[in-house]
Amino acid sequence: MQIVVCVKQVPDSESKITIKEDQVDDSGFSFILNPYDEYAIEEAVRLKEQHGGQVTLVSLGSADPGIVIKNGLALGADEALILKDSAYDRFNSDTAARQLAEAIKPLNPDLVLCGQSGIDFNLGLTGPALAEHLDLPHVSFIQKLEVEGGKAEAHRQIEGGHEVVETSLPALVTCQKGLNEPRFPSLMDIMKAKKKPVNEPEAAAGGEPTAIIGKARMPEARTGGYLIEGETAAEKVVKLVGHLKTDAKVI
Amino acid sequence: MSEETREVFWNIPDIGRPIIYLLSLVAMALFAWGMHHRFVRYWMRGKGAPEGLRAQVGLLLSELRREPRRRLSRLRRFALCQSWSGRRLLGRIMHLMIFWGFVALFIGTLIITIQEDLTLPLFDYEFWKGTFYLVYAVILDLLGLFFMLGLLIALWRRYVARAPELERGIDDLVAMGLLFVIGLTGYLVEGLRIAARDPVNSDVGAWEFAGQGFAALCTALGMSEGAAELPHAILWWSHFLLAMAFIVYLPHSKLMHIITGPASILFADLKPRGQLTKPSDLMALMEQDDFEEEDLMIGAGKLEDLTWQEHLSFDACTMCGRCQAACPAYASDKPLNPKRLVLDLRGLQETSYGRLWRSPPAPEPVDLHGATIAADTLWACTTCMGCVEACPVLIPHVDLIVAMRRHLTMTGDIVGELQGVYRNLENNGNPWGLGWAERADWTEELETPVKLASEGDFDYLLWVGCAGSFDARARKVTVALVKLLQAARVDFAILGTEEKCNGEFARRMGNELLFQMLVTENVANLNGHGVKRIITACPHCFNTLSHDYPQFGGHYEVVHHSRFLQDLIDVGKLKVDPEAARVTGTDGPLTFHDPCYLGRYNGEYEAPRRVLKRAGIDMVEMERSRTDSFCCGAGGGRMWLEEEAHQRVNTLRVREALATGAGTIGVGCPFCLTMLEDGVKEQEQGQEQERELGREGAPEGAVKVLDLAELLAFNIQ
Repeated sequence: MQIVVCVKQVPDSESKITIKEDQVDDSGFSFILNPYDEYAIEEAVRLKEQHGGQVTLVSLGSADPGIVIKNGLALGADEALILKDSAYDRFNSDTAARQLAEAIKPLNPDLVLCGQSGIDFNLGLTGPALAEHLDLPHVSFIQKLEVEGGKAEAHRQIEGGHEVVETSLPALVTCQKGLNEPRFPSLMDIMKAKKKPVNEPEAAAGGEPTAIIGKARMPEARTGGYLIEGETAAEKVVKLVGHLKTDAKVI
Repeated sequence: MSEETREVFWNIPDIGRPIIYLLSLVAMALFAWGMHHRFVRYWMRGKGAPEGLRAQVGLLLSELRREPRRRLSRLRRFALCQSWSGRRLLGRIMHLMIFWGFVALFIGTLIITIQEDLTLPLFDYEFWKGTFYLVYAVILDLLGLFFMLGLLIALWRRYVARAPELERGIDDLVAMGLLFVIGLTGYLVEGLRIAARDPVNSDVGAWEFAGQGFAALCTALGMSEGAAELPHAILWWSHFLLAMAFIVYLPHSKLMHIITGPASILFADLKPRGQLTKPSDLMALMEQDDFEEEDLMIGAGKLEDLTWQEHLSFDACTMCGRCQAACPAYASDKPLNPKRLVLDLRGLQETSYGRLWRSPPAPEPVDLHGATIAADTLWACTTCMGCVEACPVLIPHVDLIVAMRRHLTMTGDIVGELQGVYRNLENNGNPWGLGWAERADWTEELETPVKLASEGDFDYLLWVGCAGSFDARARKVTVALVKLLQAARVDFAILGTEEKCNGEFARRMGNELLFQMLVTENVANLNGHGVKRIITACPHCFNTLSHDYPQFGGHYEVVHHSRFLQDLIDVGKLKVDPEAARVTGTDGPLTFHDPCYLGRYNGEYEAPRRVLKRAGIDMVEMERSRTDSFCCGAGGGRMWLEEEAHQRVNTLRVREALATGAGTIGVGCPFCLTMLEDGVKEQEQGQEQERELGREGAPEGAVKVLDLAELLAFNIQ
C-alpha cells in the first residue's frame, strides 16, 4: 500500500505573535509538527504495519522543515519529500494544494492522509482542495479508519453525532483528534530516522498564487474588563453586585 | 596454685577431637563453596564485572584503592556503629546488641582456636589463662547476654509487635532461632560445666557470672556433680553441631548479610548522590552517521544491564524494611515498594543466572520488565532518596529505578501523560509548554530591572528555572529573591529567554535523550556568557547544575538561595530586622519542610533554618524532618503525573505539617510550594465541609505556604 501523508511545520500554539511590516513575524516562534498531521502519520504507520507498504511524507513550505521531517520519520514514516517555495507564506490553500498535487501524483498513492487543518490558520481547506486536484474522493474530520480490500470505511465527526462513510481507494482523508494516540518514538526509531531518504526536488512549477495574504494585523486589545479583588468570596460578591448596579446598570 | 583457665575439651572423649576437626573442615569447605558460588554467579555479574577469578579479585582490590578513607568511614558508620537514619531506635539497639554480641562470641572462639591449634602445638605457648582468661570470660558472658537479649527483642518485634515492614518467612524464623539456640546452649554448657565442679576452675567463680548463675540453679534443684556430665555432653555436641549448621547455612540465608552487608557498603558507588550515570553521549551519536545499536541500549532491560556493585547491593538486602517505611509512594498506596523491588531483582538471580549448587541454565537473559517489575511500579517513584537514606547496606534504589526507566523510555514505553510534557520541553523549553519567548515576562513585575547575561559582566547568574519563570505562585518567590539580591547589592544577571529547563526531571524519568539535548543547549549558553557562579531557588536546578552538568562540560559553582541568603546575612550585606519579621500574616509558628533535593540529595538542612531563625521566626519541627523528611510528591517527574485523590503524597505531608499547629509552612523549592499549597487547600476544603455539616473541624484561618525568600523579604531593612 502506497500511503502519502502531507505534513506541515506550524508555530507552536504558545508562540508569541507579533506583526512586522504587515506580515506575521516568526522570530519568536518555535516550530512544531502540526498536531493533526501527527495523527495522520500515526494512522498511516499503523496501516502500513497492518497491510504492508510504504509511507511517504510530503511537506511544502518556505523554510526548512527539519524538525517536522525528523519527528515524522521517527514516528515510522519511510521517506520524505520536501517542497520548498519562498513565496509559500503568502499562498492560499488552493495554491498549496495544487503544488502538493503535482508532487503527489507521480507517487500513485492508494491513500492520502492530511491533518484536518493546520493549527496556524485553521482553514481546513488544503486537504479537500488536494483531493480535488488529485481527482480523489475524500472524507474529512475522520476519527476512525478501516481499510480492507480496496475499500475504506471512515467515521467522521459531524455536528451532534458522527457518520460512517464508505469509499473506494485511492482516496484522501483528513484526520481529526481522537483518531489515535501517536506513539512515543523509541531511541532506536529516532536514530534510524536519520538514515531514511529525504528528497528535495527542484521547486515544482505552478506556484502562481490564486490569492495572497496582503496584510496581517493583531486584533484590537480588549478593553473594559477588570478583576474584582477581595479577601473573601462574600466580600467579592458584595462588590460585584455593586458594580452590576452602578456601572453596568443591569440590576 | 594454677592460673585460672579451663580445659577446652572437658568432658569430650578423645575420639571426639578428630570428629570435631573433621566436621569443622567440612562445614568451612561447604561455606567457602557457597560463598564462591555466590561470588562468581551472583556478584561478579553485570556492567563492569570481568571474567575470571583473578581479574575479579583484581577489580575488587583496585576499587578499594579508590578513596579508601571514604569507604572505611562508611564501613565504620554503617557496619560498626550502625548509625543509620530513620527513627527506629529500638531496631538499632537490638541490632547493635546482636551484632556486637556475635562479634564478641566469634572473636572468643577464634582466640581459643588460635591457642589450641596454633600457639600451643607450635610453640607450646598458652595465653588463655590468668587475668586474660578472666577478662575474656566476663566480656563473653556479658556480650553473649546482649546477643540473647537482642535476639529476644528481634523475635518480639517480628512476631509479637509484628512490625509491618518485616518479613515472617521460614528463613527469618530459622535464622533467628538458630542463633538463639546456639547462644542458649552455649550458656547451658557453661553452667553445667561449672555445676559439674570442673576442678581446675574452682576459683574462676563470679567472672563467669552467667554460667555460675545457671550452675547455682542446677545445684539448688538437686543436681549432683556427676549428674551434670551427661546433659553437658549432649548440649555440648548440640551446640557444636548447630554452630556448624550455622556456618553451612549462612551463604544461603538472610544471615548472608553478615558478609554481603559490609561488602556492599565497602564497594558502594562513590559518585555524588544527586548524580546519575551518563550512559553514552547521545548528542555525539546523533551527529554520527554510523552508530552501533549497542550504544543505544541505555538503561536496564535485563539483570546483566545493572552494575556489579548493584548486583552485590541487592544481594545484601537484609529485608529490614526501612526503605518501605520511608517510601512516599508506598505510604500513598502506589504500586511501588522499594523493598519488594530489590527483592524482585534478587529473585531474578535464580532465573537469570541459575540456582546455587546447580549447573547454569541456558544463558537466556530474562526481561526485567513486564511480569517481574511492572512499569507502574517504576513510574511511581518520586526519587526522594528516602529509601537510599534509610538503607543500612547502601542499596542505590533510585539509580536502579532510573536505569529501568531509561530502558522503558528507550523502547518507547512511557506513561501517556509524559509525552505531552516532553513535547513541551522540546518545543518551548519548559514543562508547561508556555511560549519560550515569555520566559522573562516576570521581570515586568520588578521595580528595578535585572541585567541580562548578554548585556555584559556579572558576578553571579541567577538561574530562575521554569517554575520561577512561568508559575504564577513561584514567580512571587523569584521576585522576592531578586529584591533581596538587589537590596544586598549582589551583581547578578539572568539568561532571560535563553534559559531552558535544565532537563532534570526528564533525566530522572529516564528520558536521557531529551535531557542531553537540553543540557547541550544550556551549557553552550552558560559557557558562552562565561558563567562561573550560579544562584538558584530551585533545589532540582541546584542539584542537576551541580552534579549532572559537569558530565557535559558545565562546571559551575552552584548555590541554593538558602545558603546564599544565609551568607549574605552572616557577612552583613543583608540587614534583617527580626522585630519586623513576625509579619507573615499568620498565627502560630512556622514549620520547615525539607526539600529532598536540598536535604537528602545535598546534605543542606541548616541553611534554610538559620535564615528563618535570623528572620526572627519561631519554628517547630514536623515529626519527620531533615534526613527523615517526607517528600511532597513532586520529585522525579511525578509533578507532571496525576495522582488519584486517595493516593496523594502531598496530603500525607500537609497533614503532618498541620499537626504541628504551625501557621506557616516554610519551603525552599517551587515544587514543594505547589504541592503543599494544593494540599493545604484540600485540607481546608475538607474542614469547611465538616463545619458546614455541623461537625467540629479545625479553627478557621488559612495556613500559608511561603518560600524562605518571601519570608525574609518581609523584614529586610
